[in-house]
Amino acid sequence: MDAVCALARLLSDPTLREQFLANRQSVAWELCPDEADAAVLLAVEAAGLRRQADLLIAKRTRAVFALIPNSLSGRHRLFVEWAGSYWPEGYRRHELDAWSFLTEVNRRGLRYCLIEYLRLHARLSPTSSLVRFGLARTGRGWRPGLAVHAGWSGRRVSCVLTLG
Amino acid sequence: MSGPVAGLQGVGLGVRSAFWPLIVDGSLPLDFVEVTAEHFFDDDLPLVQLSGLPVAVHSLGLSLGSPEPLDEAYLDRVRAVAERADAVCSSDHLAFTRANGIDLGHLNPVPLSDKMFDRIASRVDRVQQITGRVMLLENITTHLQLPGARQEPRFLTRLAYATGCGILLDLTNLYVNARNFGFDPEDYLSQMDLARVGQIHLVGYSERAGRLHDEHARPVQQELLSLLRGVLMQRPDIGVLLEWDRDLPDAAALAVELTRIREVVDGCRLRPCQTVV
Repeated sequence: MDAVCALARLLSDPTLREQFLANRQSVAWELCPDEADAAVLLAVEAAGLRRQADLLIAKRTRAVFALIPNSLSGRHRLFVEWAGSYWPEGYRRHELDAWSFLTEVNRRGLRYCLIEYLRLHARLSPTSSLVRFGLARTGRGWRPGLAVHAGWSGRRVSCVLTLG
Repeated sequence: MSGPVAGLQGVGLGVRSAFWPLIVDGSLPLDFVEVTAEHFFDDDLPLVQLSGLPVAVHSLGLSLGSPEPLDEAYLDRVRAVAERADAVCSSDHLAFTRANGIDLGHLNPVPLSDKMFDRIASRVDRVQQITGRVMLLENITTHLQLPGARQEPRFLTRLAYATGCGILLDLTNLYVNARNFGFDPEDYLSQMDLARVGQIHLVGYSERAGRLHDEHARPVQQELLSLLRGVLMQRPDIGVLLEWDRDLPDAAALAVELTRIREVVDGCRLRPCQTVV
């Protein structure tokens, strides 16, 4: 593994990062058998490594919050804890990130906004049909609702019907 | 090299969806615009509407410093956007965003070694071959300083000589790094061949807990304009682009910001005449 791959692992894996900072020599040589690459890791400043890693998560948090503000609100700590274990790929990674977080929220039995769920579904799977019950955050607070999406031949129909 | 590397001169603006109507109807004082390639991968917004102005295409995710091969499919999408926009140049960063199967989603520094030089140079060659346009390489801001970081201006200059690419000099990134890591931005600039600079990026920085951040959310500070003036005194023909991604200004505030930059640009262009008078 070269220094860039090792940096990617140290920046993305909080457990490995703390192991490295506690025992630099051992982890650096384990990650990078090549002397020049290991030297790069050994010269890394602890505070800088942590700051850069925090920046990556902060950027993700901000981008995901822009997509699902109601579902993420009050759950920043949960997102940060979860984000270290999942790194979405590609230029649609923010949408994938938000979608995966909604899936995680759902798995934990927590409330999420049906409108945000539907909006992401329509972006990521425009031709895939969806019918889902849940809660939607409206101008009058959280309300029970039904989300429906259908896409065909380049056309899409999406709506959320709420009660009350 | 004589003349500007990328053919961009005057004052430009990074295209964001909120700015699109203002750019298309010509209500902003602009000489060129820059589109972010990834914003146009999936849609077919009529980039031709911008054709009254020279267009630069800026990508964020080519990850030139990755050990893995260049993502040819990604590069082809950048090429397609560049062609749709009839772009005069493309640009990306001296950085990596992906490695070892992990997409970090943001720009990270690379060790400035001989091995990295060869890697970046070969990718720049490939990007220029595929897009058919000159590529500009941008300096990034980072909280993580790697060995050899102080060689960055020379490293970029060497890459430009070796590949024929240009440099996208982000003065905000430079200033932020200089303040956070305690070096002199003027010293950095003195080590760079400004003749190879094809474009300048500028945006206000933010400050938190005693450190600067390039959050693309503030008006350009006076010290950045001073740094800009210093560069343009030597190369008044470089295009200067204003970036703004968060807490977007309204049309009036945006015009004011562009005018502040234009005053510096015009002041440096007029300087020889003023000297004669």
